[in-house]
Amino acid sequence: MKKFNNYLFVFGLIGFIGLFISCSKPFEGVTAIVSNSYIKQRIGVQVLDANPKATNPYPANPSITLSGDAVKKGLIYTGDGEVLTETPGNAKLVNNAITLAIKPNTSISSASPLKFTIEASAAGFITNSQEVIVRSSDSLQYVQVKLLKPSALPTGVTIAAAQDISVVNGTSPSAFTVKVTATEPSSGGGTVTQTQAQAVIPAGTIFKDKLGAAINKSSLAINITNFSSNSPDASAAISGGLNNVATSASSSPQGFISAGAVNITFSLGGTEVKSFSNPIPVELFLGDKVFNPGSKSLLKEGDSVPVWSKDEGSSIWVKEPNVTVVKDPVSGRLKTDVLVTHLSTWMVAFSQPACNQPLTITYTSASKEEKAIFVRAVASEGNQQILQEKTVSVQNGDKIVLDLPSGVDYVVRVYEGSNDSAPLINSIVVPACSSSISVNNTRTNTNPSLFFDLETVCQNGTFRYSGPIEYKLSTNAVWEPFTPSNAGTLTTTLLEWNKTYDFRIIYKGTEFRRGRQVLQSEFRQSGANWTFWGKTDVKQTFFNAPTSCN
Amino acid sequence: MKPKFYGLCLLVAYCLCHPNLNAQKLSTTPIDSLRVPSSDWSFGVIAGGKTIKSLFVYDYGVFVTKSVSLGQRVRLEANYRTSGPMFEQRWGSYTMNMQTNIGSPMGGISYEWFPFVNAAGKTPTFWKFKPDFFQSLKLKAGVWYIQDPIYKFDASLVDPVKWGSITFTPQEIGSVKTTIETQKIQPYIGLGYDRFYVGKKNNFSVEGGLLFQGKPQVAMSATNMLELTSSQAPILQNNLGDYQLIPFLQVVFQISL
Repeated sequence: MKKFNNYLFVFGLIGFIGLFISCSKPFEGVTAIVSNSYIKQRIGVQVLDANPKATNPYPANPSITLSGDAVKKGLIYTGDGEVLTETPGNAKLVNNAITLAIKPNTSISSASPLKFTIEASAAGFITNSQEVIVRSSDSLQYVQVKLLKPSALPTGVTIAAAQDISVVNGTSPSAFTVKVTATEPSSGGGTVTQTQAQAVIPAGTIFKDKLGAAINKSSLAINITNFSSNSPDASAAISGGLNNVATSASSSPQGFISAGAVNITFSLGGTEVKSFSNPIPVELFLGDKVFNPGSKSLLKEGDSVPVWSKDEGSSIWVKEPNVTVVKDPVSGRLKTDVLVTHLSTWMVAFSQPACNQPLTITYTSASKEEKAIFVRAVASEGNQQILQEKTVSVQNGDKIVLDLPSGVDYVVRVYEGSNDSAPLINSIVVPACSSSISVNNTRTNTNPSLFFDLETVCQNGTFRYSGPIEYKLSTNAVWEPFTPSNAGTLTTTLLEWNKTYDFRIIYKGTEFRRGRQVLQSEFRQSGANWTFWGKTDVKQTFFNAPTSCN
Repeated sequence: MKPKFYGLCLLVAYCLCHPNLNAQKLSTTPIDSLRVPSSDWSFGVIAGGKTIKSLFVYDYGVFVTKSVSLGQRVRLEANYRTSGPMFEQRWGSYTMNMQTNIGSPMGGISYEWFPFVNAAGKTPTFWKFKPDFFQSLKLKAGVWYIQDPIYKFDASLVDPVKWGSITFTPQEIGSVKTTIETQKIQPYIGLGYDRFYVGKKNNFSVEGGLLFQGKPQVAMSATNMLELTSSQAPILQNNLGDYQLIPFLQVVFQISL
């Protein structure tokens, strides 16, 4: 027992010294950082007024509904991880914006990119939808769904509203004409009012609802919206877009070269009219510089052009009988007569199948900065109709993929920014169905290179935000893509000294918004970059990432 | 760390200086109580280890000692170092499962001095401790050579992580591979209780002390969602600056020849 006590004493003495020495924690302060870098593809969505001159570019309280294969397969999520379904209102906008994400670990093959449709609506605006294509290389793209406001339409979109009070008990006793006119520049330098479309409702027409039943009510309200193919804004405002669309005539996606389009709605005594007892002839005036991909020349008298119709809420253009182009004997303008059998959007357009391979644009730049790039591909012939636009976030070596129609050469314009008002990087003429081009951004930027660390430390851990950030000059109304945050850090040349900007991140259904002036005195230069310090010697936060650490 | 180390040095200094002190504080017994072993040699097995909080590193092996003079021995040992298979650590708000991969042959040489074993002096007694106790106390200093002095950890989250309606398994979240490299030559000092000079044929002894492993060098690489965690390496590196000196403890079974 005595020996045991001796052992115990020495053992205890050594153990005591050991414990005394090893009482600090080697992993104290070491934090596991779990980032959302597993999201490989994000889509920043905004719902805007289609009229670029609108005082308030954001329709009030819009809603969006997603549909399409990718949604049905459960591959579309919110940026914070909630799966989105086709249920209306399932995707909730926050101040007209939402960030969508593709389900992590989804394999996207180059042959079958993910596709889904965003349908947006808002009170006082015409519902619009837009198809979104996501390829594996699209790490971050920005989609704007633009809504038409009948009282403030963009250039080239004109609307006529009329009422035929002679319609009684569901029947029109006499023919009734509705004419859509627009004031356009004349060849003499002034302006001239031109007819864009004209519908004649024959006498004795019986109006039917969506179930095909005759509507026995009185007073017919008529709305006809014309989309002139002379205006890129008007063509871009056609619901569902004109590129990579589904048609009843082909199983593969098609691109349209539009010659003109109208959207027609009737309501009889408050009931929506869907069809009629006999077709309604609509005289549609066509653009004067429409490219005919079949004849490789401009549209001319005698050309046969396909006609398409698309119901509201549908993403499929249905093939209707072709029409022949004629010349208006009075004005000499090209026009055609379309026999409208039901009320929807009707378009006179050449359809071209999508190329077998997409056009891959390799972006190169001496700068390592990740930038928002706006790419617009237009037809090189005719009225240079916009074929596809894409706003993506890229850096040196990234690839931008466009799905373009065959049969027409393109001009690809690349802008450093999120729209066509940004500085042009390059404009390249590309033969139809080319597989690749390169765009080298040699623009020099005199703005300072600013580095930001968005790490947010909170009670239960450290949060480093990855994803899109939007910004705008505090005096501007439209939010634009800012340099995205990658694991909580970003380097940008988008900001200028002394200007005041607003920044926002939409995360977990909340808008995190900050406004700050960029003062050089609050930054310190380290190498090529300036880092924000603030007014004191203790480094401060320029703007916080979302403060939730979950 | 340094004041703690100084404490140990003071203890050692006390032992070295005891002849001057024990005249006043301790009673003494004659030298004939010492039962010197019949042979200078002994051999045996060692099992020991050290702990860095919840990480236990074990050494086990064999040794041989030779008494070079009365109360002074030299020991040669050959060991293998390994560790517990897994332990948990809190890394911020996450509990990490840390799989360890530590294994290396090691060899050592040490000098042992029994300060109360001498031919001429008196052996002290104090309180309830008899001369046998003091004659079994030893101070030692030595050096280990570790062939692969690297602690390797593969850390992954214990719990899954939810992202909205998706749950990521720890495997999907990824892992953090951490290596902590120490120096190959690791000197140490210590003390022990060893009944060799009490004349026991077979006996257990305990030894402990501090080894100097140098400033650990940390490297981290992480995968998948934990990729950013590799930025934490400097924090761990800084923390381990305190771990240049590590306490160790050994239990020895010794057979005198």
